Amino acid sequence: MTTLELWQQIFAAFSPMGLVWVFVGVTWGIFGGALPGVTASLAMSLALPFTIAMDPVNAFMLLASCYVGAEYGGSIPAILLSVPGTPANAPTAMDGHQMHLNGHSGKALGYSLVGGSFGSFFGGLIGVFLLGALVKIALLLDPSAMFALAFFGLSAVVSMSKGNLAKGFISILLGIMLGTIGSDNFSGMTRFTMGMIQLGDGVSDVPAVVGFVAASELFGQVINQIKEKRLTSPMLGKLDFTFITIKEFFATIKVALASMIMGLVVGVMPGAGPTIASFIAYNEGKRLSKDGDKFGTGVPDAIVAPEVANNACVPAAVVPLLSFGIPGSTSAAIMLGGMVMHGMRPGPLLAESNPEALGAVFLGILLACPCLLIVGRLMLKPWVKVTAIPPHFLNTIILVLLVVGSLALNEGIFAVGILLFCAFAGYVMKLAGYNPIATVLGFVLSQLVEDNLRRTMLLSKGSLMTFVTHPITLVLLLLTAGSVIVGLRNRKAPAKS
Amino acid sequence: MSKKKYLDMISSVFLILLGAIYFYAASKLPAPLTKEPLGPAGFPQFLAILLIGLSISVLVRAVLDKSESNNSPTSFTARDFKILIILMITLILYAAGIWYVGYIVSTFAFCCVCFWLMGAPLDKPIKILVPSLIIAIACFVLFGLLFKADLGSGFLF
Amino acid sequence: MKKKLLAIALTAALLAGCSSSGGSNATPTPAASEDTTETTGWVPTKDVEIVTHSGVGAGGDLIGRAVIAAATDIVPVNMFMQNKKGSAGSNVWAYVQKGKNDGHTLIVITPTNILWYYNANNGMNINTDLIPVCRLQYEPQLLLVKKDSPLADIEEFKKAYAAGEVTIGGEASGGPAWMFAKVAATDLECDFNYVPYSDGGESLTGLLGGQVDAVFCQLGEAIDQIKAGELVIVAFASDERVDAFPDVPTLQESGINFVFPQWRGLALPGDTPQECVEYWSEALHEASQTESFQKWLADSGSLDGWMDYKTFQESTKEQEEFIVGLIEKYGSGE
Repeated sequence: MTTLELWQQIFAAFSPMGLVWVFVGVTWGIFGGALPGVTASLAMSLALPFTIAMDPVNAFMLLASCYVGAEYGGSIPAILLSVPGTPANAPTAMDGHQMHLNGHSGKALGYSLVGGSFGSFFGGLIGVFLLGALVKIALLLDPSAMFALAFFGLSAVVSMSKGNLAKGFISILLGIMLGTIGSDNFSGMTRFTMGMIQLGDGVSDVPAVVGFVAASELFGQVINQIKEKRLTSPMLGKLDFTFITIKEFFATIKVALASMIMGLVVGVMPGAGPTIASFIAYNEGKRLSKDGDKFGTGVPDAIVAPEVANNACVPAAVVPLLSFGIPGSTSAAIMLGGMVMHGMRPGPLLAESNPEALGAVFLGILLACPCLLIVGRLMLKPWVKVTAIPPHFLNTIILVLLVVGSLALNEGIFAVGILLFCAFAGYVMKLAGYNPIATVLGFVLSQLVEDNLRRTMLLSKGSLMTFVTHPITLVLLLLTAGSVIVGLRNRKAPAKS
Repeated sequence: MSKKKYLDMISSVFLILLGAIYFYAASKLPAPLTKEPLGPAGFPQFLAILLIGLSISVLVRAVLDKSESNNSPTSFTARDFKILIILMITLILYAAGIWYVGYIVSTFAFCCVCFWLMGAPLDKPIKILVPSLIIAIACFVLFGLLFKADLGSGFLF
Repeated sequence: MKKKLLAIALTAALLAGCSSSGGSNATPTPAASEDTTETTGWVPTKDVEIVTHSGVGAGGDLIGRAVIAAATDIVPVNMFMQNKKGSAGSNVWAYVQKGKNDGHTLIVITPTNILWYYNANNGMNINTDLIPVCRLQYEPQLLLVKKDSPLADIEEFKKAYAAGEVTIGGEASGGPAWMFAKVAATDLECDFNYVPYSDGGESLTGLLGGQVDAVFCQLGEAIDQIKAGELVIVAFASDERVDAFPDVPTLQESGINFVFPQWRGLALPGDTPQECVEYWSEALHEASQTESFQKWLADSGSLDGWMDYKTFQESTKEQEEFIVGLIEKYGSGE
C-alpha cells in the first residue's frame, strides 16, 4: 500500500459518527488512564467488549483514541498526586508533581497534554509517511538488537538514582528477578513459583507495577495523613489553572522532537512499549535539555520528554501489528483482539483485504490528538480541583481504586495480594534508600532482556561476537556505554561542588 | 535502629540472603530440554551473583563510613512503623472481606475505617457513612455492572 | 462551571454510550421461544457461562463469543463469557471446581490443556476432570520456510536437517513445535536444532527476518503470509492432506511420524449429568453449522472440526496417550 492510498483510506474513514466515537474513546482513555490501578491496556480491554457491536471502522477509531487518551491520562495523577496512573508516567511524576507543588498545576498538566498530543499527532504523521520504513526497522531488530535496546532502557537507572548508585542497581536487579518468576518462555518450565500455581504465568504485571509505582508512594502519603490528621487539603487556595502558552511549549521543542523519535523507534519494537520509551526519553532529555541539571525540581523539559515519548509510541506500536499481526505493546495486543473480533486478521494481507482498518486506526490516532487537546483542556480545571478534596477522602478513594483495578483483571483475589505485597515492598525499599521505580523498569524489561540474550546466544551458538558484528546492536551498546559514562560524570560533578 | 547506617546494614544482609536463596533455587532447576549456552538457570544465577556482590558493597560502605550523614537518624520512627502495620492489616482484611463477605459491604467498611484512621471526626457519622456508601456503590456500578469484572464471590454482594 | 459541566456531560455520554452498546452484545437477548430447543428433557434454565483461560480478544475468548453469537436462536437462555486468564489454566480449574456441575458452565479446551497438565502440573486433565462435549474448530499445524528457500521440498528439508544445517523456530520448549523438532531428529537420527520464541507470531518474524530457517506453527497464524507468498508450506502435521492444500504432503507420509492436531472445543465439569452433555452436543452442533459460525471459521483461517461428544472423547484420549508417550520418551518441562 502506498502512502497515497493510505491517505485515501484515512480520509475515507472519516465520518461525523466516527468523530463522536473518537471523543468517547479519548474521554474514556483519559479517565481510565487517570484512575490509579487502571493502566492503558486495562482501560482498552475494559472497553473492548463494547466495540463488538459497533461498525469496525468506528470500533478501531475508538480503541486507537482510547490508547492515545490513556497515555496522557496516566500523567494526571502522576502530576497532581505523585501517584502515576500507568508505569509509562512514572518519570513524569518526578518533575510534574514538583511543578504542581510549586503552584503551577495548570502548566504542569498543560506540558503533559500538549506534549502528548504533539507526540501522537506528529508521530502518527511520520507513521503514515514512513510505514514501510518502520516495518523494515522492526525486521532489522534481531534478538541481539532487541537485547541491546532493552539494555539501553535499563541504563536509565544511572541518572535516575540519587545517592548510592549500588542501591539503584540493586533495585533494578530485584525487578529483573521478580520478572523471572513464572513460566520460562524458553524451556517452558516454571521457575521460582514457591509452590504457588497462580504464579505459573509469572507475576501479573498490572498489580505489580501499580503496587511499586503508585501504591508504595500512596502508602507514604496515607501514613503521613494518619499521623497529622489534616482535614483540609494543603493545596486549598493555592490552586492554579493557568495553561501554558504556545511560546512556552516551543521552548521545549528540541527535547520534544528527540523524544518523539525515541518513542517511535522503541514503540516499533515488539514487547517494549511506552514504559521503556518514556524512561529512555527522560534519561536522554536530561542530557539534551539546557535545564538538564535542574531535572527533578519541576522543569518543563522533564515533563515533556517522557510524555511525548509515551504518546509517540502509540502510532509506532500499531505498525508491526498492521504489517505482521504482531503487537508492539500490550495495548496494541488489545487492538489485535478487537480486529480479530471483527473478522479481520492484522498482517501482510490486511492492506488488501481490509484497507479501511488501516485508515481507521491511523485516523483514530490523528483525530484523537485535537480531541485530546480539547477534552484535556476542558477537564483540566476539574482535575486540578481533585487536589482540593480533603486528604482523608482522597487517599481512601485512591486506595479503593487501586484494589478494584486489580480485581478488574479477573485474576481473582491473588492479584490484590500481589498489589499489596509490591506496595509494601516498594514502601520499605524507599525507606531504606532503594528505588522502586527502577524495580519496575527492571520488571518490565526482564523477559525482553533474558529471552533475547538467550536467543542470541542460541542463534550464534554461544559466540559473543554477534553483539559486535550487528551494526544496530553495536550502535545501541555504544550509546548505552556513552549514556552510563556521561551519567556517572554528571553524578560526580555536583558532588564536588 | 533508626539510623541510616543500621538500615543499610539490615537491608544489605537481607538482600545477600535473598540472593543466596534465589541462587540456590536456580541451581535446583532441572536441565533444559533444548541444549543452549545459557539454560533456564544461567541468567538468574548471574543476577543472584550481581545482587550479592552489590549488597556486600553496600554493607561494607555502611560499616566503614563514619560520616555525619550516615549516622543521622532517618525520618522513619517507631510510630510510622506501627501505622504501616495497621495499614497493611486493614488492607489485608479488606482483601479477605471482598473474597469471603462481598465487595460492597467490605468496601463500605474499609472506607469507614480509613476515614476514621485518617482523622475524620466521629461526632458527625453521616459525613463518614454517606461518602463510604457512595464510593462502594460507584465502584461496584462502574466495574462490576458496566465492565462485568469479577469482584469476588462472597455471600453478600 | 460551564466547562466542568461539559466535561461531566462528556463522561456521562461515554458511559451511556458504552452501556447501551454493551447491553446489546455482551448479553445477547434470549431466544423468543423455548420450543426451538431439542426435546432431550434437560434444557438450561438460567444464564450459561463459557469459561476460558484466554483474555478478552485471544483465541479461546473469540471462539466462545462466536459460539454465543451463533447459538442465540438455539439456546433459550443468555450466554456470556467468563475470562479466567493466566496460571496455565489453573485459574479456570479453580473456578469450575465448586458447584458448577449443573450444566450451566461450559469450558473452552485445547490440546494445550493436556500439555499444561503434564508439563507444568497445572490445571485440569480434560479427560478425567472434565467431560469433553464437542470439537468446534480444527487448525492443522505445519512446517514453513521463507519463499525461494531450497528447503521448500520436504525431502530437501529432511536432508538439510539431518546434516545439521537447519534451525527450527517455534513456541517454548515442551510445546508441539519443540516435539516436532525432537521427533524429526529421532526419526532422521541427527542432532536436534531448535530455537524457542515466546509465541508462534514472534517466531514468524524471526523466520521473515532470517534468524531461523524454518518455523513450526498453526495454519491460522501464518495463513496471511502464505497467501501473500512470503512463506511456503513444507508439510502438515495432520493424519491426512488438508483439503485447501492438496499438493502439500503430510509429515507422516514423508517418514516423520508426527501428527498433532490443534483444535478448540467445549467441555463440561466432571460430574455434570449425562443428559446435559447430550443436550449441549446437539445444541452446539446446530450452532456450529450456522452461517455465522462457518463464516467466523473461514475468517479466522481455521477449519470446521466438528466432532460430537462420543468421537471427541475418543480423540482426546488418543491425543493424551500420544503426548504421554512423547513425554516419557523425551522428557517434559519439569
